This record gives sequence, structure tokens and C-alpha cells, in this order.
Amino acid sequence: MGIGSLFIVNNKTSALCACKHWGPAVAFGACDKVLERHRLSAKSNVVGDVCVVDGSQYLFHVARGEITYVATTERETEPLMVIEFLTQLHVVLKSYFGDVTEAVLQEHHVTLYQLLDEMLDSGVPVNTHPGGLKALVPPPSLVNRVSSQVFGHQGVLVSDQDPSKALPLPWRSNGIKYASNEIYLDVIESIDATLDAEGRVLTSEVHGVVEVNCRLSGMPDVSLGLSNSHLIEEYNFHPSVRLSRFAADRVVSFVPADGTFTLMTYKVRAPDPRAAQLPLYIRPQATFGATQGRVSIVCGTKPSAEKPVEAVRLEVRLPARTSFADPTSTHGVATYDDASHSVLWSIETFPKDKTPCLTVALNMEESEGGGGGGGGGGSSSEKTARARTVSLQEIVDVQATFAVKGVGVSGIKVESVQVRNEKYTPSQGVRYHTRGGRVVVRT
Amino acid sequence: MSTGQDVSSFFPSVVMNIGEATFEVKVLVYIYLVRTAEQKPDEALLSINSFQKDLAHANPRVRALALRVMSSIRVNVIVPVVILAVKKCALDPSPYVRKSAAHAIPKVFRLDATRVEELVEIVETMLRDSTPFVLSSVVAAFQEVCPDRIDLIHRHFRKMCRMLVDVDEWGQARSALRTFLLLSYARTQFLRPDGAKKAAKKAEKRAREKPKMSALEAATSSSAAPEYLDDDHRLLLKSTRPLLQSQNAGVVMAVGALHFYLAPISDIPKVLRALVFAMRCKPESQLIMLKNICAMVATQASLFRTHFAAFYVHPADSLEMRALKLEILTHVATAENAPALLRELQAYLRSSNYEFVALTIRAVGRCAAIMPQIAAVCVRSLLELSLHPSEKVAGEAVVVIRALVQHNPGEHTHIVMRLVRRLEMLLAPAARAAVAWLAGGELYHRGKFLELSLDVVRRAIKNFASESDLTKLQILNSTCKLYVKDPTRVGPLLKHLFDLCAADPSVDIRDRVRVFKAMFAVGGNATPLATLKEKVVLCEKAAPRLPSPAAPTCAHALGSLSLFVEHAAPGYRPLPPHPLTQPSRAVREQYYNAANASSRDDGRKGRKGGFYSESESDSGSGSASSAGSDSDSDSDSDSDSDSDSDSSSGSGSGSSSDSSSGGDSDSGPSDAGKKGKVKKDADDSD
Repeated sequence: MGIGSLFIVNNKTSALCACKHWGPAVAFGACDKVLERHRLSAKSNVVGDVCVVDGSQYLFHVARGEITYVATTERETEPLMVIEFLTQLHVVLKSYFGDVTEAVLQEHHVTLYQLLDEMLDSGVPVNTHPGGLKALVPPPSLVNRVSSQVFGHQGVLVSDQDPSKALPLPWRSNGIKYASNEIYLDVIESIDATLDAEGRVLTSEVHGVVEVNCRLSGMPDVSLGLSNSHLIEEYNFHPSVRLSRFAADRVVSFVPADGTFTLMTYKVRAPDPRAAQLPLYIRPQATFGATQGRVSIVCGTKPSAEKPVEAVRLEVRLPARTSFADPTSTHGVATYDDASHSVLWSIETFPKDKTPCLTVALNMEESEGGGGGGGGGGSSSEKTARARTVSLQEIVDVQATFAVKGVGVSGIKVESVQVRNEKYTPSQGVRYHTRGGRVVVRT
Repeated sequence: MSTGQDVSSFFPSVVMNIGEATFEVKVLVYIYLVRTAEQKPDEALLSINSFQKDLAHANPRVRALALRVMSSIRVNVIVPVVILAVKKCALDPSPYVRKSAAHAIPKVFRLDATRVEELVEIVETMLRDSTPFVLSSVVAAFQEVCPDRIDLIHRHFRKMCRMLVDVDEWGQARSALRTFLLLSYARTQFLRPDGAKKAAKKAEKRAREKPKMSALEAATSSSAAPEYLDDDHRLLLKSTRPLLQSQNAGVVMAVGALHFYLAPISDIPKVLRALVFAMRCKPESQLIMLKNICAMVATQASLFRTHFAAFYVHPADSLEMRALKLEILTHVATAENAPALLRELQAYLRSSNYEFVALTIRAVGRCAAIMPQIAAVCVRSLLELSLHPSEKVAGEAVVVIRALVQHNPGEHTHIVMRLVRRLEMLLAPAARAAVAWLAGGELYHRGKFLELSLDVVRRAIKNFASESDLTKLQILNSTCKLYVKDPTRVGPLLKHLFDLCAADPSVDIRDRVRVFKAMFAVGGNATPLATLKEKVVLCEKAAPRLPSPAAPTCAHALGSLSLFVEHAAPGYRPLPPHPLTQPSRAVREQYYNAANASSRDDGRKGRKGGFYSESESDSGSGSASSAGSDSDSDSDSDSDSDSDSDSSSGSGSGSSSDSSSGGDSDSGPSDAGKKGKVKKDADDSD
């Protein structure tokens, strides 16, 4: 039960950054299959592969940047628990070291092992809140680094305080002090939509995330009042949030964790699923012949959009038989990626007077015929078969991401932020963002 | 060490430092020790003394660490020492140390399973612990060491239910483990949520589509009627429900599984909503979620209808995920959503990922088989695909058409004729075989079709040598069928074919032709077998079923690794079946009553006074639990109406219930429960 061994691997160079065993030691070679799988899925540009079975070992893996976290187990375990732990491990490492890279992990590997020691006992996760862990394993700081330079040892690596006193809440330790107290919220809403070539909406959903950056002293008790909270259909919360309070009067009340964390995730109840809430329009057109093809896309902001749409990125997935593509755009930068057969078109800001347009000229290989294989009815019939097949219209998916600053699409707003239980009045602020989540336009 | 090199040669000099007073050095030595002790068991024994010293250290952090490291040393000889230490630490005043003790139990168990009795004893004492922080680890230990000892849980069941919401933060992931425990507990202690569900399950085993539907309807209708659930059963469901709002997908899944198995059907939609939402929130968990949802859908398709669009395929999905999504979509298809589904599937058919297209064709076929009203549209779009550039796709399309035609031959005559004419353009052996079968004309008897069939067979025989074995056999069969219908014209053709087959390299074909030669006497003497020829080639054939390519016929428990990998992983324990008769409730009641009389049992007080106040008074729990209650108390109390009433009334009701049960120990708890309820009503009216 639980995790047998944990490997932290650089998936680019296949170098081992760290490993820890809770049961019998598992050879590092077990990770080869994972890395191979990772490269494959990176090549075909898909996500979601999480588990590899290698002999008696079940390997779960989660990749973040150049680092892949691999957990092995030999016995029945809840797979989701392992996956959740690995993702959380990354969150913790990030809050300790900033960007997690091989070099960074090597530099702080003592702290890393301390952390692993605290996070897992006998392969079962114990505490994975960065805020709580910081009370047990102090993060590397400037003071530590200076003292290690001067005195030759690494300063305070582990605090020997009584954990039950230092850590009254698993996510918040005692005695946090800030010179200026502040709490900032980011409400990020992302739009998922699937559109067909005529611009009809097939599916549309809006999901929101509330991220908190909290730098408050002591043990504050924060409550958020939300407007239009009736629009929230599904939600989940950080463990600190009192669920019953929200269920009763829709007030999000919590003792915040220190630093940044995700307070809540919600799904917006769609007033009309057929209405596109996208601030953009994207009109793709595609034609393919036997050896050549052409894709053109027009993209622009809808007149109803209040704020400028920025950082638009369109990923155009061309058919697999594309051998070469030459994208030209009237605005923005377009590049063709040979490995994944896709064109990436990015527009930072839209020009005022004209609508950007992308044209991609394609060279295509002739489609894979029946050549050899089961042996069709002679060469003449094979030829006719090939001649007939190319008339099929292949689909081109356009995936879009974008960002609109300063406005939330759903109308859910944070009305009030109140901090109780402490004397100071913190500075506070709320920002709203809208983003393109999983927007797909089909031709 | 971190790079996996052998560092055991430094063992003595590193371990010497264990006596060092500084905590940091000690921690580093410990990390080293755990890693290398296996290679140097003898030297490792030398360090035991200093562990013993540390176990008596004043700082709980040091005690916990010493125990943790000591139990992690995988050397058999020290097991007795470790067990002693665990026993001692299990009663430590600091919850942090007790938690380490709980974690040490499974470690010792893995090292030496013969000590199980001593360990169970420790688990039993530790289950009495009332700090959620500790209890979650104890439960993990219980799961591993003695999952069969359900009897140990009886007295703690209610306490555990109440604590669920409260289990500290990520420790909530452990609540996944815990809910599994509760799940297996509930499965052995409570009846099925509604009797009809049993019928549904039986029906599902027996047949596929239709009986299941009716059974489901029966189930939904019966759940409308007032149903009987044990109070404790209800309590379990109620106390787990808030966990569906967890950020941890593992918790959501575990609770979802629990409710899926235990809750009455009317409650399940809520669970499904949470599951679908969790799937969206965590991209990594998608695949596993899908697999589980797929298993759920197979038994209760109607429940997922409202989430139809959540399972549309996204371009970034891996093939495995796409297969699962298609599987789910075909399960939830109904007459209402059929048009939307068909439009969606048709978009997938144009994908340039041919494997995915092949899967989609299967899905289209399955939908059409379920809903004959869309079959015509499906067959037409599949006919187009029979000319798909990919051999695999084209083959799949023809095979599916054949199956659909066989379901309902009357409707698709002209489609079949067009398909049959296309023989030359089809390359996949399976497709050619399917066409050859259709040309056999079993389904159609009209004169025009016969002409066409004859023509097809003639053309097929021309290239006979280059066909695949599968197709050859089918051509042979079809020609024989035609011979039965029109011996004079087909006769010479068949004779030629027999000659070709007799010289074929494949044993199967030579074998077949020997039988047929005896049956169909072309230009020879008829054998007695000849009378059987019609019966043999033109017998009634069952319409082919279109099995799902991703069929999860896996019966493992939801949320388990075994379900995900589709085989029983080592250590997998199947869910116990529901009992047929209600097991006695007394197993739980007795403890509560006894505890009442002495008025010191955790669970009892927890029930009335809210276990926070209780855990504060508990000598061992220290400040972790009391501080925890600051933030959690209301989250818990609202989810649990009993303690809700008490948070306002304080200890008053606690004492009243104590007195009532003191007077009449039999009716004690129910009495007290009623009082609590009355009290609550009064509060509500305020």
C-alpha cells in the first residue's frame, strides 16, 4: 500500500535527480519505460498518460517542465491518490525553490530529502501543505546561503520545534509575521468551447479559479462575500474553507494558508449553453487535394468585447500526412512544427483597423494506400482505390488560447474581503482575468 | 547517495555521528541510515542504542523521528525492539509521535508478518484515539495489517464517520483509504440501499442492453418510495458527502465510489456531478476518472445522460482516453441526444488519426445497433468511409455495415448493392471478406441481387490467389450458397473454385474444400452429405454483436488500481457482498451504551458534545486538535446536524443525554438522539 519508491527524473536528459525508497529498492531502470512514454506523448502532443505497468511494478508519472516525477508501487493503491500526491509534490517544491529544474534540485537536495521525509511516511502522504511544511523544514533563504558560505555548513535545515505547537493547522504555522500585511486575489475564468466551421457552438462551459496570494501576520480569519454566487454550479475548496458556511450563506470563510494557493475552483452555471461567450471569432477554412492543401483562418475580436483580447495563440493541427507547411500571416508570428504537424500562430495584440489572417500552404504525402498488406485485387484496382480515396475531407482542429485582463466573463465577483481575528487592516485587491481554456474550432 | 550509488562503505563513520546533539546532523544521519542499513545489517544494530535514547527525548519531534527511522530500517533482527517502541509511542502524549507510531505498524508488518497479533493489539488500542490527525494513520495501518477484523471497528464507527470531514488537510487523501475501509465495513454491515438495485445488478449480469434499462427504471421508481436505511448507514453517507467538494481528486473518487455502492439511487446524480467536475479540474486525473466513470456507466447509463457533453473528445486527448470517451458516449446515447451525438461522431470520423476513426466507426455501429432509427444515417456515412485511405478504417467500416445490415436486412438493400459493387476498391481483408459474405446473398433473394452476386463472385475468383485466407474462405462459402440457389449457372464456377482451393497453400482452405466437395457434387457423384448442404451453408445465423473495443468488463472495485490496470493487482481485495439480512445494530450500540454509563468513551461524547470539546480535554491531543477545531468546528457542525445543536447549547445536552442513558441503558442512545433532534428543531425555529 502506498508509494514504494519515488524518482525525480529529468525527462530531457534522463538524469536522476533524486530517489527515495520506502520499501525494497527499485532499480532506476524501471523509469526507462516512463521516459519513453513521455517522449512519445510529447511528440504526438497529447496529455493524460499517467500509468505504466512494467513487470510487477506500477509506475505513475507526472511531468512538469523538464522534471518528471515517478512513483512506483507493487501493490493495490488508489491510483488517483498517487497522482494527486505527485502533483502536490511539485506544488510544494515550487513554493520552496521557485522554478523546479534539475540544477535547482541538485543545489537543494538536502532540503529536498528533508521534505520527502516529512511528506511521506511509509509511502503514505502525511502533510503536503507548503505552508505547514515550512514550519518543519525551513525553506532555503538568503541567510542560510550566507551562513553556509561563511561557516561551511548549511545553516538551519530542519527546525526541531514541537510540531504540534508550531503547526496548529496543517496549512498554517504559528508566528508568521509580515511588515506589511496584504491579501490579493486573482479570479481567473476560463472558457471551454467547441465550435464548428459555421461558428455554431457545440459545447461551452466556463470554469473559474480563485487564487490567493496571502501575506498576513498571525492567525487571521478571512471571509469573502461573492456577488452572483447563484451562478456557481459546482465547486471545490481548499481544505481550509469551511464548507458548511458556504453552503449556508455563500460566504467563503477560511484561515488562509501562507503564500499563494488555490482557494476554490468552480464551474459556472451556463445561462444558455448554445451562446458563445468567446470574445473572439475564429473562421477556419480548409481544402485538401491529393498532394496539396490550403488552410486559411481569419481571427478577430467580436465587437461586443469590452476589453482588448491579448496573447492569442492558435494551434492548427494539420492532417498527419502533411509533409511540409508554409504559414504566412498578415499579423502576428506563425511557425510550423514538423514533429506534431501543427502550425502555431500567436498574436500579441490585435491591430485596430484590419483583421489578421493566416494562410497555410501545405504539401501532403499521398495517403497511405493498401500497398502490400492483405493484397488487394491486383495493381489496377489498388490504383482505382487510391484515386477514389482522396476526396475525403479531413478535419483540422484549431485550438485557441487567449487572455483578457480585468474582466471576468461570468459576472461572479468578490464583493468584500474581511479579515478578522487580527488587529491590522491589510491592503487588499482583486483582479479578474478571462482566459481561453479548451477552445476548439473545427473545419 | 541520491544518484543511486553504493555509499555503504562510509557506514561506520557516518553512523558514528548519530550521537551528535544537533538535530540537523541527526536528521541527515538518519536519512543515510535508512537508505543503507539493509546492506549493513550488523552495523545498523549498533545504532539502536541511540534510538532508544532518542525515544525518551523531551522533544516530540525527536521522538517521532527516532521511531520513524527505526521502523524504516529494514533489518529483521530489530523487529522486537521496534514493536516495543511502537507500543510505547502509541500512548505518547504528542499526537505527532502517535502518528509516527501508526505509520510504523505497517512497516513492521511488511518486514515480519508473523508478529501480526501484537500489531493488531496496538491497532486496537490506537483506534481509540480521537485526534483525526492520528486516526487517519491508524486506519491506514488497519487496512494493511488486519482488514478482516471488522469487529474492531464497531465501537469506533460513528466516531470515524463524524471525524471524516475533519481529517486534517492532505490527510483527507487518507480519508480515501478510510472511506475504503468504511466502504468495506458498510458493505458487510448494511443492507443494499434499495432492493431494486439488486435486481439491477442481476439483470446487468444476465443480459446487455434492454433488460438492464428496465431494471434501472425499476430501480429509480422504487427509490421514490420511502426506503429504509439504517441510521448509521445514513450517517456514513451524510458525513462523507461534504468530501465531494475536496480539491483532491483522489478523495472525490473514493467518496464517489462509496456513494455509488451504498447510496440510494436518488442521491447518485450529485456524486456524478462532482466526479465530472473533478475530472475537468485535474487534467492528470482524467484518464483514471474516465476509466472509473466508464465502469459506472456500464451499470447505470441513465445517470450520466445530463453530462453528455463532458465526454466529447478533445484533440489533446490520448487515444486511450478517446476510446474511453467513445465508450461512455455510446452507453449514454438515447433517442433525444442521438442527433447531437451523431453530429459529434461524424466530426470524429474526419480525424486524421486513423486508429481513432476506426474506434469511432465501432461506436457509430454500436449506437446504430441500439437505436435503429439512426441506423440509416449511420450506414450511409459508413459507406463513404469504406473508401477511406486507411485500410484499417475502410475495413472496419465495411465490417460494421455488414453487422448493421444483418440486424435489419430489409432496410439497407441498395446500400448493400452499392457496397458489393465496390469490391475492387476495398483492400482490407476483413472488408473484402464482409463483402464476399454479403454477396452470398443470404439476406436477399431478388433476382437482380443474384445477378450482382454472381458477378462479384466471378470477379473475386479472378484474383483468388492474391486474396487473404479470410477472404478466400468467405468467397468459397458464398459461392456454395449461390450454388444452392442456382446450380446450373454457378456449377462451373464452383468447380473452378474447388480446383483453386484444393491447390491452396493454406491447410484450412484445403480442409474446407474437401468437405464442400463432398457436399456439393459438381460433376461427380453425390455423397450422402449432399442432402445436408442447404442446412450447412444457409442455416440461421445470429446477428453479430458489435463489442466495444474498449469494453471494460472489469469487476474490480471503483477507484482501485486493479480497475485501472484491468487485472487484480497484488494485494487487491474484492468488495465484500452486501449481507442479505440486516446484521444486528447492537454491535455498535453496545459500546455506546457501555461507554455512556462510564461517560468517558470518545465516540459517545463525540456524538453529543462534538468531539472537539472532548478532544481538548483528552490529555494526549495537545494543541494540534484544539487549534484545528478553531477553523474546522463549524465546517463539521453544519454537515452534522447533531453536533450543530450542541455547538449552540454547549455541554447542556451532553449531560442530559448522559443522565437519560444512565437511567435506562438500553434505550439510551436512541433516547438521547431524539432529544438531540428535538433540541435541534427548537434551534431551527429560533
